[in-house]
Amino acid sequence: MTLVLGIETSCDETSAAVLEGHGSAARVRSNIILSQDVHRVFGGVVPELASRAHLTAIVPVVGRALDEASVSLGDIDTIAVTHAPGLVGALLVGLCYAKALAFGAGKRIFGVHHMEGHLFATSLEHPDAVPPFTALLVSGGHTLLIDCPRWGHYHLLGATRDDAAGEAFDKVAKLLGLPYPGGRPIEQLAASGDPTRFRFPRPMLRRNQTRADADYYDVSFSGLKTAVLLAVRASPDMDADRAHLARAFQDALIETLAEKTARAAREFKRQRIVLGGGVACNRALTAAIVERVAALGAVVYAPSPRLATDNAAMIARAGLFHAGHDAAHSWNLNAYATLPIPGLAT
Amino acid sequence: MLSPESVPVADVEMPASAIARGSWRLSRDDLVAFGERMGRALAPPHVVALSGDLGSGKTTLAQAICRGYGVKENVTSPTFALVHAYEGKHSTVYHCDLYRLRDESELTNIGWDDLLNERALVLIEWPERAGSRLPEEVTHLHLDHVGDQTDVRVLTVGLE
Repeated sequence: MTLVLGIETSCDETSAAVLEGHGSAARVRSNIILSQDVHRVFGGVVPELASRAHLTAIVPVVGRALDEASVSLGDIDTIAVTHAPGLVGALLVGLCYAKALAFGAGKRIFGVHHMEGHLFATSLEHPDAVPPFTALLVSGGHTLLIDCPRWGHYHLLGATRDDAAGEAFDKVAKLLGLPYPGGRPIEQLAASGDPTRFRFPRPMLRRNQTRADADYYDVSFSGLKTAVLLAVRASPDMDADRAHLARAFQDALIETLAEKTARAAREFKRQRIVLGGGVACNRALTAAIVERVAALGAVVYAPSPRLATDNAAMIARAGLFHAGHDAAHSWNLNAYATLPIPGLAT
Repeated sequence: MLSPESVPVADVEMPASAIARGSWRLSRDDLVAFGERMGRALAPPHVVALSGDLGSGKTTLAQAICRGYGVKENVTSPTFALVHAYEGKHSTVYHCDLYRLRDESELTNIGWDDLLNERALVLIEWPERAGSRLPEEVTHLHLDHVGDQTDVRVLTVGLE
């Protein structure tokens, strides 16, 4: 049995988790995410926290993760910490704390790439969500289409040229007068929208596209956002049009992502599609992908909200993999705002 | 500031230089060409504030400035990450987006003071959210929509 402490502070979330590994099987013993567990972390008295107050939160969050897993630092075998990509100042809080813990307690340390964590996240709930698979990672900050023949080996097929999928949801929600974050409000409203009332362009999606086209796998959502804006401005009655506009926006975004994902599964003959990131919670997206890959006999795996958003359990899981295959990082391990995923084939 | 309506329709020529002051009505292609030219002309340290509503073309302009400045990577929206860093020909480029900031005290947590003290090119979207912590020496670029025209923006340079 291997016990891994995971730490994640790459952007908004302060998160820590304890993972129990048995060979390639893993069980989450605890997974503390500050924004969702603030009362459990601070007990009755919750301090007024600025966003990204990792420095204030890191010690109690890690402490809570160890407590809920009923382990002490001494029981931990390996510490896995996100070291890229993200805000360097935010990453450094988690990284320096992890290094200090590891140095003081004599533990091995592994720096984990945040996006590799997302690739592992779904396997924590679905044991079959393992390579070979096609992965679509869609969050507020990332939109990546990846082929994964085996853990540690990744082909980056496509990415967003401008706005991430989750960002498009948030900004269109703002344009429609819906709350932030915008994913769920748009999904709920779109369910009652008439799909034939409005139609927005499908960015970078053309019938005659071939693999030789540079945008065959890439996506772009900035123009879609502007199209929604102009439709909102042109609407004589937003109360009547809001649901239809939400539906048309969501349909355009989903069709693009579903088609590109299906293309990747076809090209690499994958039977498994793994989704990650907050937008993977959108049921209409999952349903559209299921429908498009049905002819290939492929199965689609989506994580629950807690593992879809940024969390340390997925970092611990990726760390568990590297602990079994690679040498530990040295104390020189640094934080990077940008860094390619390790094992990325060019 | 000039209102979009006060800009003559015929006035489609690009700003003569990166630091010329005034307002121009530009097509998307003109806007990209302006951004690339400005990027080629900039030398670090330099701070550029890019303001304008959602969908007005701030990220498109930032992408063009980065390209002109010699950034080879794909420049994407930094809204979620708040700051993206790239290597340009003459220095690092920090592309900041303060859209998600609730107040200026959060700037400290994103390394604001450090990146402004570097010899770098700093592009700032939603600069008004920095309040009093926006540096004084800044090139201001502001983008406006023109009615419901998808392909035309009014660019205002150097005016507060």
